[in-house]
Amino acid sequence: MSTGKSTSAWRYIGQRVVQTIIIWFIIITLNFIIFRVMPGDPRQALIGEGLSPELRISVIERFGLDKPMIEQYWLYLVNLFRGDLGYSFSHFGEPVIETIFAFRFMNTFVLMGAALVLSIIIGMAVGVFAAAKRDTIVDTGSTVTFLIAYALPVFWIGILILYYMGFLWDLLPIAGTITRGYNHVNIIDYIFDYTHHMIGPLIVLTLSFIGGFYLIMRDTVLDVFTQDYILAARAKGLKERTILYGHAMRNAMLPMVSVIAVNMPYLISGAMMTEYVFSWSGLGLLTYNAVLSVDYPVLQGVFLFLATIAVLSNFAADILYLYLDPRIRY
Amino acid sequence: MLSKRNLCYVILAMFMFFPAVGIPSVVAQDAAEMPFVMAYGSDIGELNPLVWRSERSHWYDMLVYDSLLSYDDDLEIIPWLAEGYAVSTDGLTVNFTIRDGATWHDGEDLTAGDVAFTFEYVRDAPADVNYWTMLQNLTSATAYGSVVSCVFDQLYSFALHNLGEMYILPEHIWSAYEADDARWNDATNVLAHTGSGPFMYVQRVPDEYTELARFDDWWGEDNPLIGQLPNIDEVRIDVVSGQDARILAMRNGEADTERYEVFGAYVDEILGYDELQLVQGVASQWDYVLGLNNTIPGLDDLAVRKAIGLAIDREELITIGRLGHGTATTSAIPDVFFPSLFDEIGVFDENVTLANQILDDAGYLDNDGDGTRNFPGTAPTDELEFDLLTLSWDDISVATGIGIETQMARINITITNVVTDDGPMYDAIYTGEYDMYTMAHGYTGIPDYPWWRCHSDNIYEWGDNVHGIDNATLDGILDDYVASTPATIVANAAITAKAILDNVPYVPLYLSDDTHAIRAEWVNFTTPAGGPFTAFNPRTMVFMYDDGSSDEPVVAPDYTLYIIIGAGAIVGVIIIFFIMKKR
Repeated sequence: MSTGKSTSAWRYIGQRVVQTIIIWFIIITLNFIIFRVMPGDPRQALIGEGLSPELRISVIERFGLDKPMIEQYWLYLVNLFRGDLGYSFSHFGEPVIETIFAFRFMNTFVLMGAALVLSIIIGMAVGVFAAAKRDTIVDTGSTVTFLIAYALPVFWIGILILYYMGFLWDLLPIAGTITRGYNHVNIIDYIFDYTHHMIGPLIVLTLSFIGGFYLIMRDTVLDVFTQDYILAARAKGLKERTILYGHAMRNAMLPMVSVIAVNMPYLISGAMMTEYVFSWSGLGLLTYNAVLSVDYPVLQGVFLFLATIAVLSNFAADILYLYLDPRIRY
Repeated sequence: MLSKRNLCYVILAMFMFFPAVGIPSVVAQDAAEMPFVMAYGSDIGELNPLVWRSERSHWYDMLVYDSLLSYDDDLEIIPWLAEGYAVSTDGLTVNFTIRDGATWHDGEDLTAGDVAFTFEYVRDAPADVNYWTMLQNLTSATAYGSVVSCVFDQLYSFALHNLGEMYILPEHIWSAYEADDARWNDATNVLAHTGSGPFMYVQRVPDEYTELARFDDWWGEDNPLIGQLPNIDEVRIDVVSGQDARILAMRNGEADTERYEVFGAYVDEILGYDELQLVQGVASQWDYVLGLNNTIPGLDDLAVRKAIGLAIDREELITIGRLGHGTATTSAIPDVFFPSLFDEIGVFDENVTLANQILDDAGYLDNDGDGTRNFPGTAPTDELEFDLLTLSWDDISVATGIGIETQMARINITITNVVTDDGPMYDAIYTGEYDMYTMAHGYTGIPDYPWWRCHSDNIYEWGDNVHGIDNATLDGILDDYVASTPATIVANAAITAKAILDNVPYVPLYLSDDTHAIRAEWVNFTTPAGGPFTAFNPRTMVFMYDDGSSDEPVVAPDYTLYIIIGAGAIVGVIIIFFIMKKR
């Protein structure tokens, strides 16, 4: 890269950094406002019938809900930069940071990470293969199969898996990340137990993700096949496998970077319905329960984390484009 | 062939899996003889027995901590940890005699001093702990030998109930820390969860399960009303999020019952499974009412409210709203929950003719001939029509709302059902921005709710008097009701029920029946109003037992086969890899 190009690249990166910071500030502000303008009052989760006015006031004061909105916002910002996201209403007295990161984040990260990696690998491999076998039964069959899997509601597939594999055939557990009441004898025992519990939700999520990756890879490879360098590769007498996976797939990767970046927030947001169906204790299930119990601090914390990852992954994708596609100008 | 080095790698890989294959089958875990698994939709919110905020936490607390009193199947007070109690004739002193020989889970003796400590500790705790409000009138709680004497400076009818329901805390553990200290919710601090109840805290994996074990030194055998230890030797509370998953878990023996009753189509589904049984004919604590905003035009007129009360057909609503599984509540103090305080004088009758007559006499006539009555005055006047809020997630609320809409048409009042969610509904109700609502309030064993719901002191934002009724005569009656002596409580309850009937701030409809799904082998659970698993009914968990009719023992899964297959596959892949590489 010449000096001029290098300078413009750094300028572009600098602009993107500034944009990212501004976007993040807008997000944290919206994150504060949105929970205060939406219907519902957190007091409903904190108080019940037969409680004195003093007690109600005490509960409200404990969570700072008595303060003016602007003061609440200032406290929110100050605490945010201290790494303090407040205290959960429904997990009484527990810091939100702990509620999110103690174990739920890792559960979601492992499940979603495994599902994304599996679906990306399978989707890309089958997508390239289907493109190579265009208009054959392989192409049609895989397209129809993955489109159906993509379109089916995840909770429905989940319940089917629970019913057949969990109940009728007794292959998978019904709920949880580990066997309840079972004291694991060592870490390997724990990992096997955990993996066993992950199979059900992993199948559901992989099925639901795979269609998107498959279709993008297939369509992009079909487009790549029309390029001259593929013709040149064939003319050189390269093996079909080398052309497919060495040339076509590599050049079809660029759109995949965007799609993967867009999917990165899933790593932490979790799949709410899948986690709910399988009682998988991750951030999706946490969000579901927090919505039901109007647990503002937890919802704020989860959405803030999610938005931050989304902003950062998009930033990373833009920077990655610089490296992957030399044609990009600034 | 494999080189020596690669052979070493393969052997090393195989050895890595030996511990996983071998140890689980070597280390056998102690299996409970009679485990009982309760499936929760979500985890217990709090372990601190002073700040439970849901019935889920409350039910857990009930197992780990003892209260002084409990309730029998008629919801009459019975001795529990206390072997006797007495209320003075002026109602200002309540004495409890504490049972000899009771111990804490850590082996320390439980004394009357612990009981006195608990009452004063809660009184002096932050205002948001449970029972704090009632104890602000407690002058002193003093232990004299095995007797605890509690003196109040203000008469409160249900002081005995409240003191009797409170969980007794070990002074030697709690006295050094505040009531809201984080340790009381710390799952890893087993000592912090020391109680004296029939079950001991063992462990909790958040969002997965909470495990309790029978306390073999519990005092149950010494109480003639109990006479035994719990039959169950291990209680586990498992988190199973979805209703379908919970039913599957019960059917395959992973769970024995679930925290809340089943509704709608699930009721018939449960009845179709031989391995499950359905609790029937027992009222739950969920009290569905037709709430009225007494401050808006139309409903601020007693004639309209009375007519609405008379036009309600409760049995029809039970059929529509709860598919027949409900118990009509015809009084603000219903006989099914509070038989000793119930009086016919407070009963809401159904009389559509009289309802129409009242509205006619009050001048609410259909003066524009559209089928809906109009406000009194010279036509055209406003229509007598109201919005009825119902909860979208609660089938019973929605269906009951539809039934009310039909029934109000009989007296030419038009109801528009507005199905909404918790947030907007509670916002509207607790800020007075609504016409009518249908949802459930929860009953406990303490019938002080008429005062909270109907006294003008409770009209404020998020106060309990959401009806906005402000009537000095009613206030006086309610004040007398909650300041009764043992000699006057029954009469004052009758007067209160009659006053609510006369003023119709809201209309009691019905108690949803319990309809708990439970595995068929569990027998001998108790069925007071509220149901077998209400958080004020510990007797079920003492008396209930598995009659052995199930052939599905719940055992920890054996992963040996999976591990062997996995290990074999990985080792096989490694071998194939090296062979291929060699060639």
